[in-house]
Amino acid sequence: MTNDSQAIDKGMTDAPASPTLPWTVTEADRNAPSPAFIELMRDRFPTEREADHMLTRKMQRRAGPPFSGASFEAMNGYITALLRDKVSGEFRLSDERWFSGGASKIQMGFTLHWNEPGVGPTATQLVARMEPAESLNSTSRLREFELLQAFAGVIPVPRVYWVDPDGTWFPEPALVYAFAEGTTKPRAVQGKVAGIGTNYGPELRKRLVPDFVEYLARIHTFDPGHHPFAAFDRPTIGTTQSALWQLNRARRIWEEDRGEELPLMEVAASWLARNLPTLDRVSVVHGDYRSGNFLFDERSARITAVLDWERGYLGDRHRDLAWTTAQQYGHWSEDGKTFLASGIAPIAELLDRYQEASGLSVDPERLRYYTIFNCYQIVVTALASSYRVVRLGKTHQDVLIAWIEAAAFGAMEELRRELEGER
Amino acid sequence: MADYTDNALLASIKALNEVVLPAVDPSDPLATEQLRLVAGFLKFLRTRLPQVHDRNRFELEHYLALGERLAGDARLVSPQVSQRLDDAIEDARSLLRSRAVSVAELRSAAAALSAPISGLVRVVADADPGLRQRVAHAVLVDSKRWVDMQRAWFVVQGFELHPDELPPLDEALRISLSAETARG
Repeated sequence: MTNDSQAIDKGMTDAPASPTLPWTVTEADRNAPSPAFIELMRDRFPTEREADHMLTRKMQRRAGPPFSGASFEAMNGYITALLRDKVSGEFRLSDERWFSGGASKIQMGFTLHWNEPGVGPTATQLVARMEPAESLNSTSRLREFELLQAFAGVIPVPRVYWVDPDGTWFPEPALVYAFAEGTTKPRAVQGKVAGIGTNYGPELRKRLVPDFVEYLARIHTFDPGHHPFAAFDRPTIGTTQSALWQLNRARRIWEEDRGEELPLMEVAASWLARNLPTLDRVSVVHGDYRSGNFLFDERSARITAVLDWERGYLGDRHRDLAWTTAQQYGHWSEDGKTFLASGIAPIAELLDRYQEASGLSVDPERLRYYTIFNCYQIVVTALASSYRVVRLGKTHQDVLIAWIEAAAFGAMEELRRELEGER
Repeated sequence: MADYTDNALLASIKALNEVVLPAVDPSDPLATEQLRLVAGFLKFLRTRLPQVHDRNRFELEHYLALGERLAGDARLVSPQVSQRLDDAIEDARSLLRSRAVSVAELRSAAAALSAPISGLVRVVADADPGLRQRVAHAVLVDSKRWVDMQRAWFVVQGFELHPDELPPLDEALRISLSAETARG
């Protein structure tokens, strides 16, 4: 076992009368956490500063009221308050509408009629993306803002306008960015929850492959030193720091959110802590690069926008590669013989094309580590965080989040099978 | 005997799909999506409600079997974990021998077992590799039936990538795990 993993397990042994014994964490601790409990979690699972900030904020606000619903009138009020401080001259909003598709944030489309600097009087289609009272993923709007800024002109991303990182104008952290044209699925296909397992069909998927691979390669070869990235910590190459930060973040969420003990998850956490991979290169990691998280033009089969950067961080590209090729986000080909990663291409083909496009190697051992880690992460999100936010009524779409709980068990079986082979 | 609860669920699904859904503003994708999910949940509930008790009994039997398998290792590493586990095993055995057991009692007893088992896994993370591997192996092997049952339970929700490898739910729930339970 590494020193790091010993450190994160500190306090989990059977020290006499220790308040940190796992079974002493109660529903009350999780539903209305005390400052001492919050500090215990921070101390036990050190992670990146921004991730720590967001998770701490989540726990400090957890005992607050459930989400009481969003209205166009309320959202317009928040946006107007923001624009009064950010925009000079008159403006008005119109064409408000809700967006579905994601599982975690409130998204309202609208048109802003304003005098845009450098453009003049114009009507701009925008999207306001705001946290509910507690999100399925307690991620950072500031990070999302910085990543969208950084990748403008590098790959197609929505133009980002304003961020409210701590809920100054909005009641919760929020982001305003340009509406991007395109669709997440072919018109003839029934939409899937959060775009998971979207089937693009045999012809379209072949035509989507080049952009899908090229943009992932550009994300991973982007030099993070060329952008301030104030909300990011940069892990040290040649250490296990990057993997440990991610593991600690996931373990912390498991402890803070779960509704039950699962010994299998403890076995997985122990294995992950003992097998932390060393970082060979610092890349921007998108964190959720898969079907459902990009828009495309169905006629040209070109990707028009890469979306959902909320899980982004600086770290190991293999995390993205394992996520993109995960069982949970793909499906079988029409003949039932080939698994299509993200519904786009067979895993081997995708990785070959990626290596060619990026010039970066793919290490099977690191890929496997992150495959196991991602299964652990999926269970944490789909079972633990889902349970807690639904139990406390924290979002605008609790019923969708409850539906996603079922997705945990496929990932759990993959996790179990991988670790059983490992021993 | 007539099942009035099932009748009410049937009527609710029909109302949502045939009366409420057409009345929802089609330009509101959140409302449409959530209405379909609510109707889907009620349909799911209709199929699963008769088996809720069996499912909770299965879970308790799973944790009891795993606890019995690990009790000896717990004694080797932690008196505190061991005591907690032994007490939970005794309570579970007693409960499973009872004629009438509520779902709440089954759930509570399963939770009382899973906590010290998880605690044992945490404690042996720092123990010698042989012991750690033995405990991990027991958890991984025994968890297969539990995970399969959960996958079979939720299979109709459409996330399952390998539905063909799952036993039918009735079969998954019938698998008896605890010799002690069988004796009871």
